[in-house]
Formats: sequence, C-alpha cells, structure tokens
Amino acid sequence: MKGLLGAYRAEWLRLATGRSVWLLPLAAVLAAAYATSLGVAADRGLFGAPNGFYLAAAGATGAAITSAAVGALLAASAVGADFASGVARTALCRPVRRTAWWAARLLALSSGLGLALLAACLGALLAGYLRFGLDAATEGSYVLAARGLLLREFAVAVALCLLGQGVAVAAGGLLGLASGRPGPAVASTALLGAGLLALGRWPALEPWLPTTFLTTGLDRVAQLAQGLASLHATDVAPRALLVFALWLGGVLAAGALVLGRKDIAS
Amino acid sequence: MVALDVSRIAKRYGPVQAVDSISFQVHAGEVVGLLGPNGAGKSTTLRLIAGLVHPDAGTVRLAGHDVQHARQAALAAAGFLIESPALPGELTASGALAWVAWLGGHAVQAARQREVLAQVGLTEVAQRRVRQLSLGMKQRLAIGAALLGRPSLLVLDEPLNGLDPPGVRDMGTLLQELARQGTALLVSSHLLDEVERTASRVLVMARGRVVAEEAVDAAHTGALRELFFSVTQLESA
Repeated sequence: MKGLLGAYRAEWLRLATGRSVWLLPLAAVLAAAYATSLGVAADRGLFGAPNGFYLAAAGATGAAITSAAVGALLAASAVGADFASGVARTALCRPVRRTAWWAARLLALSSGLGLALLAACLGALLAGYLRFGLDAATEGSYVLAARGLLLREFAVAVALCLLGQGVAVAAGGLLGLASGRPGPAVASTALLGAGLLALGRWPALEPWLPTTFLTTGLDRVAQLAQGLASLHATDVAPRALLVFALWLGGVLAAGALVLGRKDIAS
Repeated sequence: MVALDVSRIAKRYGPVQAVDSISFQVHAGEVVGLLGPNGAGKSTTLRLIAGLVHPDAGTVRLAGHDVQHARQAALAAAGFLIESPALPGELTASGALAWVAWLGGHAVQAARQREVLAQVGLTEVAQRRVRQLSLGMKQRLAIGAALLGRPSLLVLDEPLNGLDPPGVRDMGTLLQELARQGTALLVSSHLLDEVERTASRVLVMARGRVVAEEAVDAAHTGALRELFFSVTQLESA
C-alpha cells in the first residue's frame, strides 16, 4: 500500500500543473452552459420540466458521458505514451511494484478527471438553481419528491458516474499498456467504446455492461424531478456497484497479468 | 563487497540469442565498462539487470537481492539510466527528481534535490520543464535521477551521449568521484577513450557473450582500443 501511495503522489505531480487547474472552472462553466441551454427547452415546453434538479441531472449526464469518453481515451493515450517514450521504463527501474505504478497512474488520472466531473456537476447544479431553483417536484400541492430526497439522489448518481469514469479510465489504461503506443491504444479504446454501446442493444448483455450504468442514476434523478416516479438512483446503485466492481476487478487483473509478463524492451 | 552479481543470465528474442549465459560481478568502488559493437547484447544485459526484462535463465543480484524475486529491495539499492533519458516532459527538472523519489516511496529532501542538481550542473534550469531541456541537459538530469537515492550501484547506459566535451569531462570526473566514495558503477559506452579514462575494468561483449574481461591500465593509452577491435573482429570473423 505504501508503494501505491508513493506512486500515486508521483503520478499526481504530473497532473497538478498550473494549466490543468484551469480545467476545473472550465468544466463547471461548460456543464452550466449546457444545463442552461436545456433549461431554455424545458421553459418552452419542448422537453423536460422546469425544475432545477432536472436541469442539474441532465447537465451532469452530458458531463458524465463526455468525461468517461475523454477519460478512457486520455488514459489509453497517456499510458501508451509512457511506454513509447520510455517514461514507463524509468518508472519501473524504481523500487515500486509494476502493478502499483500502473494502478497509481490510472488512479491519478481518474482522480484528476473526477475533480473536473465534480466541478461540472456542481456547475450544472448551480445552473439548475439559478434557472428554476432547487425545489421539490410537485403536482399541485402534492409533493412527489422532496428537495432533500432529490439532493441525496443527485449525490448518489454523481458518485456512480465517478465510479463509471474510473472503469473507463482503467479500460483505456489497459489498452494503453497492452499496445504500448498511444495511437493504437486510442484507436482500440474507441473501438471498445463503440463495441460496448453496440452490445448494450442486446438485452441479455445490457445488465452486465458498465455503459448501461454510467448515467443510470442521473436518469432516475431527471425522471424523479419531472414527477415520473420510478426506481430511484439508490435503488439501481447496488447493481451498478456490482457491475463496476466486476469490470474494474477484471481490468486490473488483466493489467497486472500483462504488465507482470511484459518485457520493457524499449 | 559485491554490489552486482550476474550469474549465467540468458535471454532469447525469437531466433536471436541476445544474451548467452553470461556471468560477472561488480564490486563496491569499482567502475566497470561494458563494451561491445551494436547488437552485442549490452542493452539487453542492462535491462536484465534492471529487472525490465525477464531472463530465460540465470539470476541477477543487486546488493544481495534477487531482482526477479525481491525486486523492490534489489532496485532500492541501485540507480539506473537505461537507454535514452526518459523523464516526464511536463515536469520541471526539480519536479522530475521529486517524481523519481516518490516512485521510490518517499519525498525528496529539498537539500538533496539541490545537491543533485548541482552535481549534474543543472541548478540554473531547476524550474525549466524537462521537455524544454536540451538532450545533454536531459542526459544530466537522468543521471541525477539515478544518483538521487545515494545508490550503492549505478548502472548507466551510454551516460555520455549528448554531452558536450566539457560535459563529458565533468561527468567522467563525477563518476570517478562516486567510485572513490564506494559506489559501484557499471557503464556501457561507445566512447572507448572515456571508458579507458574512468573504468578500472572492462567487459567486452559480442554476440551475447562476454568475450574479454580486462583490467584497464590508464597509463597504457590506446590499449583498450586494441583489445576492443581485436576481440570483436575475432568474434565476427
């Protein structure tokens, strides 16, 4: 564990540059702008409901999908480039376990992108608050979903998005590791993403794919905020956690196997 | 004291026997030059020593620790520059040293960071990003990174590449000073004159084998060149 923490500190140094700090407010502003644009449509009755939580959930959904896609591609490119440039060779000459270094690289990327996603979700929440206010979903005088419930469900949904993003980063990192070059890693990650989306149309497989659960919590919040009572984010969370854990475990185990056997030749 | 013990290691890539059951030792305070023509197996040998490549047979011990079975303890005793200098380009020179230190599991002391940067002549560019450094500066920084943990063994692959003549002289002096302080050094190089100036012993490789092992007589200028060409030509004949 000490080796993993040390490697995480090392890899975090590479991300925490002055330039990358600007990504946080940028993510918040972009997500807020997206949510606000959805608010215009909701206000005109085109789709959605004039409810701040609906805007927040819809805005955060866009941010979560973008963030997972960017995370997977970025991890593939970064890990592939580490091997192609020799940075991995330098790192693996240090007294750190191979798997610990790789996992730390992914964890650092994941936490950096996770912060950006959190900023985006807060931006979307703020946009929802400013546009319609963060009020309970009601029908006449009847409260369909209280404000506290919607806030809690939103938090759970965002946590699920963060986990889903972690799986995406790990999958990209595995392909970066396996190919050892950024170009093929990015291409194979894009193919994997497209493949997962295609497989999601097969009902037997859909409940086992991480893409199914990436934004499922936010979908529930959006529905709840519109008064469409169905399963809550907290209801789908256990299944989502199970699927994410299986994929993450599988990807990390495969990475450990590949890296353990790999000759770091050049 | 034996800092590096290489025992009958072998590595094959497909049909090519890159390293063919070689054995040698490097002792504390000794500078050993590893010579050989291109394709002789020097780089593979150094990668095997660093644990980057899995051997088909044999063992490598760093400070008594088997690099395959006690990897972390073995690598903690050594500093490496394998092939070209490769540190993250987005970090500053001092940040790259911090990165290397954290990969070893601890923070770098600011004083040690300054000391190493001064040793390799990079104090003035400490805050410059690695990607903005010249090849020679990157080479110096990579050597500094290898020195950071005060290793008992240094394994350097072509450490003088990219250095200007004063840089070559300074680095040679630094390596000799480290050896005087008790560090064991294994240095691969094509610069026979510099190896002759700094090394106390040389191993000459050809076709994956050690074909000659000689003490260097610094007073006998040119002897190493004669030895190198005689054994490598004999092997290729």
